[in-house]
Amino acid sequence: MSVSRRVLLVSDFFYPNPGGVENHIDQLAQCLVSRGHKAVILTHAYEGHAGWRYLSNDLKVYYAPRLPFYSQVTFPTIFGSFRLLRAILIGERIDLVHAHQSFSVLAHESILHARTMGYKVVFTDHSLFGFADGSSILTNKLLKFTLADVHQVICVSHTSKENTVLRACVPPGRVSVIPNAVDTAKFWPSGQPDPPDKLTIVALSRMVYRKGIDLLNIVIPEMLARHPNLHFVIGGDGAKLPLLKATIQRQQLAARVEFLGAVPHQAAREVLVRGQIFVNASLTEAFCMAIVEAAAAGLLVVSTSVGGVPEVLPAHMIELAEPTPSSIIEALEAAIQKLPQRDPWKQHAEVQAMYSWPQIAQRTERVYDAAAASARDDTFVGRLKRYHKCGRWFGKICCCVAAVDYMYWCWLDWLYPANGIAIAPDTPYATDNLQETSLHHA
Amino acid sequence: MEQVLQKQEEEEAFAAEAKLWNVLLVKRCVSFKGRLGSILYHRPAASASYFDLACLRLPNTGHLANQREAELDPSAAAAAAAAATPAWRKVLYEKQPYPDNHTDASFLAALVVNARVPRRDYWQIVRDSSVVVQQVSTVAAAVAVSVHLYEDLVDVHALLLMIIGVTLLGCLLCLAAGRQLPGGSLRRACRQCALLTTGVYLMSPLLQTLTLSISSDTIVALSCCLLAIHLFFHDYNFVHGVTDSLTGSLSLGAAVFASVLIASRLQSHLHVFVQVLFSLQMYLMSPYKFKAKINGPWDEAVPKIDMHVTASRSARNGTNR
Repeated sequence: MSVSRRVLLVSDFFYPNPGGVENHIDQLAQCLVSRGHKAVILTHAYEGHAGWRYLSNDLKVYYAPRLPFYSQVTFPTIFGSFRLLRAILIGERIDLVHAHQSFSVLAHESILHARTMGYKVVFTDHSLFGFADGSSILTNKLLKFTLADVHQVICVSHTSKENTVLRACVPPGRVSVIPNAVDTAKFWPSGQPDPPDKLTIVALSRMVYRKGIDLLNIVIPEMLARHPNLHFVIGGDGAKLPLLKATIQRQQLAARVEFLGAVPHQAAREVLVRGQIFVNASLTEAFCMAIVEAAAAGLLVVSTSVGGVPEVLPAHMIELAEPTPSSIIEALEAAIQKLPQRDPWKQHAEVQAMYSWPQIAQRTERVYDAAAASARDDTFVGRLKRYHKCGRWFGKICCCVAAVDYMYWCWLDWLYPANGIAIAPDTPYATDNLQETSLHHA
Repeated sequence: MEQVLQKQEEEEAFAAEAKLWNVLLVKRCVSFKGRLGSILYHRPAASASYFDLACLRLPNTGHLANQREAELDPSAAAAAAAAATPAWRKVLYEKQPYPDNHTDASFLAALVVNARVPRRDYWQIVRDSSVVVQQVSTVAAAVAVSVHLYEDLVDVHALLLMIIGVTLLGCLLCLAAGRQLPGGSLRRACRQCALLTTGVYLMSPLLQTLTLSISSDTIVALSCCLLAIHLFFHDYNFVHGVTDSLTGSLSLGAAVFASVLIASRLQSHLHVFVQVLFSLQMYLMSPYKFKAKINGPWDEAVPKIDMHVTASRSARNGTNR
């Protein structure tokens, strides 16, 4: 058990917004709390969620009054969130800031301000990015700026680490790889034996281009034509759903393909255990929680071999394919051949041993320790030197932004002195009880 | 002793990372210079992380001690070290005896730089760029004719005859080379041609007096700007004579507007008619011979849809029915 820390987790993405990052932050915070740390979450206000509220286990969440302008990302103002962030950092007596996700403007701004105030900062990157299009170039520049001054970076897979190191030009030694975990207690296999005359394949993802729905659009009719006892259960909603539905309708296969529409995360297990094989056709994926959840539920997984996917599951649980219909069909055939050797409960236990939140929290803790023990030059001049290395011109702009932020901080300190900010009381709660639950889950 | 070991450990870490960068450099320095250069630029900052690295080591870092022994007694301990630490694997599902921030020698091994850059032939580029030259020439010709009309250096009737002649010649060429008339059929072509000509003829008195209250300098300056816009936004990509990009129509609109402005300075409405007609001919009907479709690594990746799957399926469906 390391030193007890007071951590602020910052991201634009949090409940009530559904998604992998949101889930990650929640689970990580809960585990940190159960390990005796203090965790506070900062996100922006959502419809019906403003101010602050407590989640289970007295986890405090601040919903900051920031305006989201594009897919739940707050409008970039650079300095706008500083005053509130400072109040939270001082009021909650935070000693380490952990920002999440490179799309999140709030996370980037918080890193800058927290560094200005001299806090230790850790950043977690959850997704892969290209280098070609305009938005990637902009985001990568921004990432280079903010990551120039963080103490430690966490990536969710080795591929994600390579990607982040190239994008943000951080030395690889500063980047740790800590995968996501899955709450395996929520994904247990079905108790019933497989029906002898019926084979079901499940696909569960958002129906968007990035998830490779165009590939499934060809794979599904072909597989149905090859195997008369085969059925598909398809969950998820999105722009590509009409395309898939139209294909199934046109080929008169509607009786063997069931569309469920959007499936809430807590109902995912019920959908998964209806099948024996899970298929994922994503075109890019840093970690892919969905295949781990499916594996935990005892399904054989067939997935495209993209991004971090090949690192996630051992060969006996997954059939990898190239992102082409013929390769996916081949992999599905191989999976059908392998079905008799499937042991759902054994597989469940294996996945449970691979990915559990308490372990992930422990490894994250070790990164916090490394950040806290960092002995680098954290004076203002030291920071400027790091920012200056961001690029011939960009470095100078970074320095200017950092300098203005520093002056703004001085002004805030003068206008609203730190001793005028009310200290938030800690809510003591039964740690023993918590540990019991987490043990029970594990 | 402890300090010496600590020091040695840092040096090892430094050497390992230096080796990594060297490997990276040698492997793919050539075309990736800029980005790698900027990473290497970070080297001094990186030195801070060696301390962090030492902090992050897991308790069971027995392999380091083994390595040190190996330096003292290389024959015996080498095998022991190999046995103690299995080779690092790029997987997440296994607990490996390496710290979370371990950077293996295989780091970035899958990086591919400039995989799909086509090798371009110099003369090929010259030929392809002629599409730009052609458009600039078109604009120059249209403006030159306008100036000749304005200065009365060319007979307006002769020019009208020439337009008719060139149009007929163009149609014949089109018929000979492409086996079809512009516009699809003869009837449709004639109708379009008649509508356009009559429209322009009827409008020409109006066009002539359109800018009476505006000075010629303004007109010249505005026309130049519009023609520049035309050249800038012109759809140099299009292949089939139909443009669906917004900039293409913007470009055409700018060119027509410029020719109308120039026409409004001319002496008689016949001059205006001929001028507008000639401009339309130049901008709308000039041949598109050199259009080049440029693709490259900047395009968005498309999932490969292999046709034989769909083809075999539809074939089977056909036999079933």
